[in-house]
Amino acid sequence: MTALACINPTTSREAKAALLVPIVTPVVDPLDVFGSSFMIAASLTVTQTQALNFGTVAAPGSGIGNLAINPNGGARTYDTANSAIAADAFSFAIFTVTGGQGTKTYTVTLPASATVGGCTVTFSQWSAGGDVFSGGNDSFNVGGNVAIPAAATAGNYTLANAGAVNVDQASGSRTGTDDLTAVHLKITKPLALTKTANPSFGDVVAGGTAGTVLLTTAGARTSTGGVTLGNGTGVSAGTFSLTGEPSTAYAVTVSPTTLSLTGPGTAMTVDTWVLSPTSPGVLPAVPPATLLVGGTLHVNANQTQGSYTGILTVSANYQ
Amino acid sequence: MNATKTSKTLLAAAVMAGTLCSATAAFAGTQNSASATGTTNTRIITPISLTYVSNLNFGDVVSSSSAGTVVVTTAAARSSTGGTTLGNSTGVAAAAFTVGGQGSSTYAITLPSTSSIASGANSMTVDAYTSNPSTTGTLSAGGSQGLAVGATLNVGASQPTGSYTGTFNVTVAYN
Repeated sequence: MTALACINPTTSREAKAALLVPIVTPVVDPLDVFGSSFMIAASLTVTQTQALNFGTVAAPGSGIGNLAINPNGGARTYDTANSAIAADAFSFAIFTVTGGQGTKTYTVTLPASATVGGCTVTFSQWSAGGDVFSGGNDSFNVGGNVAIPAAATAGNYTLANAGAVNVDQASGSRTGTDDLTAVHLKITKPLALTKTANPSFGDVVAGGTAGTVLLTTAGARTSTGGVTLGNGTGVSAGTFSLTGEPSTAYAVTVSPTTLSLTGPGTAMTVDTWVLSPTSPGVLPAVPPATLLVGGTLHVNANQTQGSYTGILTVSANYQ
Repeated sequence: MNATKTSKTLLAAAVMAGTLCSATAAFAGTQNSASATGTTNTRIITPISLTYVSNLNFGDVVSSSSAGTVVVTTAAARSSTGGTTLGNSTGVAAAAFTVGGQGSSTYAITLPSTSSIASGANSMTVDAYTSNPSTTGTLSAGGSQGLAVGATLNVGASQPTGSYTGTFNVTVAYN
C-alpha cells in the first residue's frame, strides 16, 4: 500500500488521499503447479495455545477409573462409582494451525499415548467444522482419557511433553508439528470417614407435653417444652474423623434429614442436624478433620421410658 | 516444525476451564463420598421425685439475755452456742425426705439459704442448711435415696417463749 499526501501551500488547507494497491492471492497454489512428484515441503505453523488439564480426581477404590475430557465441548466424565472428580479447573488442549491452503482438509496425528502420574493417557481430537482450513487457518482441540488405577499415588502431576502433534495437508504437501505439552493431572487421596463417638442425647425426662432436646456440636444440651434433662453421662455430639487430600474442600451431609429413634414407645425423631465445622469445609494441612454432629431430639408427651436408637449416616464429598 | 512456544502455564488452563466447569459440576459430589454411620441414642427415664418423710425439729431451746444458736445436724445431733442452751431433746430430728427416680442417676440438691419460723408475732431465722448427701446425691440401682436435712436456728436475745414453726423448701434435680 502506498499513501500519498498533497499539501497546497497557497491555501494552507490539507488534503490527503490514499492509493490502495490490492495484492491478489493466486487462484492456483504455486506448489500445486508442480504436482506431487515435485513436492516442495511447505510449513504449517502449529501452535499449542492451551494445556490439556484433567484437573483433580480421586483414585478409585478398586479397579481402574477412566477420566475423560471430550475435545468436543470439553465435558469431563469419570466412570468409576468409587471415587469422583473434584469441581476444579480442567480443559482440553487447543492447537492453532496457520499457513494452510485455502479450504483444504488436513489430517492430525496425535501421540499414541503418554504416562502421567503413572496413569496411561490416550488422546482424541476434534475441530469445529471438521479438519478443514478456512483461509489457510484452523484450530482443533485435543482431549483424552486417563486410566487411573486404584493404586495410583496421590500427587500433582504435569507431563512436560506428551509427544508430537503432526498436521498434514494434502498428503504431505504442507506439514507442521508441535509438541503436546503440559498435560496436567492431580490425583487426590480418597476421602475416608470413621466414627469415633455416637451422638448421644443422654437421659431425658418426658413430661405431659411434648418437648425437645437440643444437642450442640460441643456436646451441650438444652431442653424445651415439657422435657427436662436427666443425667448427662455419655452425652456427646456425634464425632467423625475425616481423612483425605490435605487442604482440600469437602462437603458433609447427614442423612436421613429426619431420623427416627425407635424404642419401647412411640418413635421419636431427630432433625435439624448441626455440623462443626460447618459444611463445606477444608481439610487441614495435616488431616484428619474432626467433624462434630449435633441435632434436635423431639420427645412426645408422656414418652414411654426406655432406650431409643436410630442410625444416621454422615457422608463427605470432595467439592 | 516446532514453533517457539511461550510458557504454557496452568493459569491459562484455569481460565478456560472456568467456562466449562458449570456444565460438568453435576458430575462432582455424587460419587466421591466417604461415609460412616453412627447410632444416635437417648433414654427416656423416670422423673425425679422428692417425698417428705419427717420434719426438722430443734426440740426445746432456752433463750437468755444474749443471742445464740442451735445446730441440728443431718444425724439429728444437737448443739448450742452463745446465750442459748438446750432444753429437753424430745422430738429433735433432722428433716427426712426420700428421693426417687432413674436408678443410678445423680441429682443436685438445692437447700434454702435462710428461712424463718414464727410464733405469733415473734420469729427467728433458720439458716446454714446442711444435707446428707451433700450437694449431689446418687440414686440406688433401684432408684431411691434417703435425704436428711439439718440447719442452724438463730435465737435472739430474750427470745419470747412459744412454739415456733415455719416451712422450707428442698429441691432436687437430675444433673
